[in-house]
Amino acid sequence: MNSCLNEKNFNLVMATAIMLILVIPVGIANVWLGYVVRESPCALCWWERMGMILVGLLGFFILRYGPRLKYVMSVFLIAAFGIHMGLRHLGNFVQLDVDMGLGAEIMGIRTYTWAAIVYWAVVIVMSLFLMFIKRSEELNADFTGQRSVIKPFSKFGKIVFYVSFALVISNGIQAFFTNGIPPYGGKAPNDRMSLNLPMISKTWETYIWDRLKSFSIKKDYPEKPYIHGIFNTKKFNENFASGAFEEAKKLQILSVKEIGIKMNKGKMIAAVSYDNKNEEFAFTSHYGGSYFTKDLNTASKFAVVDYQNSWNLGHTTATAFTGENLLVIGQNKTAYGLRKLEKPMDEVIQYRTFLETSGDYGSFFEKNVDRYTKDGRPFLTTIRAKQAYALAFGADEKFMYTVSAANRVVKNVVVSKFLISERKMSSEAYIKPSKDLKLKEKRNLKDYYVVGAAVDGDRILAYSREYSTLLSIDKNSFEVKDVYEMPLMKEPHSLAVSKDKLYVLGFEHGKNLLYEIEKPF
Amino acid sequence: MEFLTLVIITICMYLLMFKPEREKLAFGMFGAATFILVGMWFVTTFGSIFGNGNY
Repeated sequence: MNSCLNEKNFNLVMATAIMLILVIPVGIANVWLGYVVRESPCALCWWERMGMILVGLLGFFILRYGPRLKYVMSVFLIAAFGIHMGLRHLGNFVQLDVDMGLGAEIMGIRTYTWAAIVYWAVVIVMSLFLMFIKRSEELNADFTGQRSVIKPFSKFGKIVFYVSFALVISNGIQAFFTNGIPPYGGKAPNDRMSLNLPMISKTWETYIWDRLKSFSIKKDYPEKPYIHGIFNTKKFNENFASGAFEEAKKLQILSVKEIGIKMNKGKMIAAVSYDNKNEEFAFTSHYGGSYFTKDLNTASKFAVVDYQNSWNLGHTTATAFTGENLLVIGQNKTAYGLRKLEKPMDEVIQYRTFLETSGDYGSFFEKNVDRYTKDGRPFLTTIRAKQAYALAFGADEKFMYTVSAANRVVKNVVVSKFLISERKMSSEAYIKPSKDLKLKEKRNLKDYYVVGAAVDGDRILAYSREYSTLLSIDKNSFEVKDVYEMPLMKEPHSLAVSKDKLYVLGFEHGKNLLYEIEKPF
Repeated sequence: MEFLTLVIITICMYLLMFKPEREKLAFGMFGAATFILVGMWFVTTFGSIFGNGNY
């Protein structure tokens, strides 16, 4: 066959490919990073490197015995596993800030990221090699098992082999000195490459075997927040006396009213807020529908955002008025806002933004085009509460505040403060009691579970359903200044505050309730 | 375990170059090295199959 896609050229290209994966990435990592920079692979890096060596090894099998099906198949399998390895490893660092990560960079990219790229390239190159196999009778015979021969290495093939052989031995030396012999294994963070055996052997570790004691699909992932009927992830102890505080003033229920407004989806209302200027409530569903009312039964003004499209909100969990505008967050602290309009919206903008609306509200955060782009639904990103959801949210004229729901990963309650104009975090802290507030011995605030919040003057009022406690938190220091015992209610969640009352949503037998509670200050 | 795997790979390469008629043994050694690779990867990541990215 006259085609350039013949066996001889295939072997030449295959040897080159082996060199590109075994000599260059593995060689640079071993010789340059290992012996010059004195960096050793971490526990996961070692196996990513080993996979590359095995892909190169399969190349030598193909050179020696032809592209038999089992070799070709093995290349794809190891490459698929290698892509998983690279992405899994990158996942350990992908949420960190710019340039944060483990080990040195090669061309601005760390080695574990290179792993995903290299294995991805292996898939592409091996796929292209299949064209050689299809066009060559000899290679086809190898592939289908009709021919079984041992082929000599070309001169170039021998050079690549011996360089690779030396590199494999060199990697073995590095593995012996830095990690030791079985059952010793990988380290993370890794130690520097050293040939000082008496010292380095004292650092050999078996800790990776301890990982067999626990298993989970996702690393450091919290349970969902408690939302009645959606995520029933928690059982509450609603007895104030079981909490961290000895005693506090007990607040009384003034009245209980049934809310007649129907939500766009779901029976339970997610959040309530109160606008003191207009003496008006806003009720919001778990699916992005907000309804404004004065009498709890009719909502002449409403807006239902296109909940499904654009940035995912999870379920909307909390709201807060800033002036006459309503801000809303989802459980994942993605926000959107409803800005009260002076004149009717453009019909196209209304169509793009909302599923349904009375025409009174546009997007709060969008500066130019009134629709929900990334700017329209900002991510309220945090540091301490990164792995925590939020069920509570408050706002004043300048700032908005999220209060996290503690979970098995983030064990503290975190208050995060964001400048509304920037939509970026201004300050953040775990809540702690002020020095004037006495706690029971060996107790702290970690087991409080805040399901509603509202800003009142210089305080953030946070209602913990666990121990039925109202925490009064200073807006600047985030210290808990006062606590109050809340009355027992039916499925209480969300908190709003007016000049003279507190409001808490309840839910019983499919009916939404609004508890009016005395305000203690 | 890394050292053991590289010893197996070294033996495999030796067979490929100097004892090519022992193909089955060489491929078996490749299989053993791959088995250790996959096994040790899962031992090392047993605490979580996925990293802590935002899924």
